[in-house]
Amino acid sequence: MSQNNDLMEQYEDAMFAILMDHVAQAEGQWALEENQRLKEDPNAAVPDSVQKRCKKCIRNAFAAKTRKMSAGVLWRGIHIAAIVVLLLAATMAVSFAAFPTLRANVINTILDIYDTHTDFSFVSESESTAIPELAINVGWLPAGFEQVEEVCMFSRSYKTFEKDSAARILIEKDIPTESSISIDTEDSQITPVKMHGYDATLIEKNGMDDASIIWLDTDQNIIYFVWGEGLSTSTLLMVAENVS
Amino acid sequence: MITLITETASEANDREFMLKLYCDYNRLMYFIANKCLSDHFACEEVVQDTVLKLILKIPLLRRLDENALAAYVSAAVRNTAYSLLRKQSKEQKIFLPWNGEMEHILAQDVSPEENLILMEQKHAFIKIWQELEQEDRFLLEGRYILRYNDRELAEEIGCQPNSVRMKLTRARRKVLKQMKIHSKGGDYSK
Repeated sequence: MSQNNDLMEQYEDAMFAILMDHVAQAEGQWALEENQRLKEDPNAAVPDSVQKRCKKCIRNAFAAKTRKMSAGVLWRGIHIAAIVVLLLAATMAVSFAAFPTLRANVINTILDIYDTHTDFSFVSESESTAIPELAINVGWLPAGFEQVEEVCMFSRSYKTFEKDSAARILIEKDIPTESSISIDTEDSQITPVKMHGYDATLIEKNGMDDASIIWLDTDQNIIYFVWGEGLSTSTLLMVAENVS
Repeated sequence: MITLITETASEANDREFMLKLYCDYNRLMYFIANKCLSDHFACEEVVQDTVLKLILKIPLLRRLDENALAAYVSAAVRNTAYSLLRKQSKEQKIFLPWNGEMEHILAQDVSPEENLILMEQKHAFIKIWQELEQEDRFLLEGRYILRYNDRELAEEIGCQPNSVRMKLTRARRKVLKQMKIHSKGGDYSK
């Protein structure tokens, strides 16, 4: 009886897949016609704030996805590197004791500027095998901000803070990889600044309390990214100055 | 390194695909969200959440023809709006259907032979579909148009994944019963 029920369920499932395909075709036809009508109607334009928010959301989603994917590739790379080192040690009796401390060797931060965003790429002469410290210490925050999220992954960690759901701060540390980091720079003012003695880029969205700062700590080989919404640029700079 | 370059290129293609999809359909998405919700901020949230859901389904979206893609996008916005309404009503302690512990599966009162005949009545199905309760539409659209699995559907409707199967069976049988009534010329709208 139970098997009979299962089979009947599968049968109904298949039947509905066909029927619903018919619904999808009809729905699709309506949606295409409606979409065309809306495209021709100047009153149907989507507000600028929604447009910006959604495009930013797409770019951020892919930037995060790319960084996550890169962590996996980097992890595999380190595994392979470890095997190679072990083989060398076993067969050639290479003494690693004499090796100098590995230093980060990042030589360039490349900016690819597009109309809507800027891709930051970090090019290294040689890859350090030392794993940088990704724990985030926040030395100072404006009054009223509370931590809402903390994430620590292999190549990335971040903390987010909120104040009355009206203002937000994101502090992120990343290990540089071959993948670029996309930042929304549409309608923004980009200013070179110094942060902790390193060259940094300050991005301020025109007419909005939305700014971000990105810099590369070349001693630790870590990218710092601090973003704030609903607070002044000077306050955000103070937050960034107290991050380690 | 080659893997990384290939994967990065693929990511860039996906991003371009998604940006183009958004540019093509942003007015429709906003229009549907506005039809479902009166609050401007809620509309913004729904459009943005829909965009994030679409990103997760890019491999599927790439395979759809123009009609099916437009249907997918509009169903995705509607379902996201409905999810938000459900969430809000739950927070306000106003319970919509589906939250009851006891789910009653309708008896299977349409035989397989009758089902075959009903399959021929696709136009009747469309009419019944348009008059179907919102909850049932939400569930069936989620499964058959948005292709959500049990876990994804459970998240959308706020129940356990193992309850989804029962709810789907219930919704399907309700539709079949309506179709049977319709085929006999009865009042199927009740």
